[in-house]
Amino acid sequence: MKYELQAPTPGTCRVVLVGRADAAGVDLIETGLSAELRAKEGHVVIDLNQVPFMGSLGIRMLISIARLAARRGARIAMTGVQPQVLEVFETMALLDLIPHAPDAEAALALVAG
Amino acid sequence: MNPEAGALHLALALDLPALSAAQRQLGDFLAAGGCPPEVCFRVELVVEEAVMNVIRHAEPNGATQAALDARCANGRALVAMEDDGPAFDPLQAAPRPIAGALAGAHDGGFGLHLIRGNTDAARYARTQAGTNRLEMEFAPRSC
Repeated sequence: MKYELQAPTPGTCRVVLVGRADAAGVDLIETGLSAELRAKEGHVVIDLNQVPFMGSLGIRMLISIARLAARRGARIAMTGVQPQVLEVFETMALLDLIPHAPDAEAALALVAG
Repeated sequence: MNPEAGALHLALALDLPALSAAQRQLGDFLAAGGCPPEVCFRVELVVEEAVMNVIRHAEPNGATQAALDARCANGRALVAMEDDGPAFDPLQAAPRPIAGALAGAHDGGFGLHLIRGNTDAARYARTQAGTNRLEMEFAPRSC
């Protein structure tokens, strides 16, 4: 699994995740991603377009990122969640914690308030 | 657990690469047996949580190994997991609303929420052989 941080607008950090977010995949990126995100400011958009599977460690990682954003008063949103992943998120009520936007533009509008 | 035709038996080491490999093998086996993708997905998700529970409680004096058995019929998946650790029933933790997770310092109750929300039945037993056995059923859900 890989990640990339982008700055689509001033004050917003887009986290692009790529690959299966299973146990080994999340273990590969979680420490580095958390450290980089702690050094960033502003709102967070998580792009899951290229994540075909997300397991329990992946969901926990998303909750950790949401916590990080909440601690500094930033807003957070997800975009590009694939249908099966979205179904699990709905079952888990994860969308109450991190809202989902249908596309990148809508996600940016969501965090911009 | 006795391997049988049309069934998958996996003995796995308690580490993340072994878990990821087992998830893929399970998913491939169930898909080949006719389980729909959403069933395969939920099986991989719940198995990850169940095995991670064992790994989290593996030290000290915890489990040294785990095994997974899977069967599928008519799109339904039946999965059993056994480990040789101390008695631990993952179905007994108190569930907590996920919305509280932002304020919380830990994820207590999250795993149970995940297992209950993504299985259609789950049973725990401490076997006479001294292992934990978790049996789970996954039925297709209409879209």
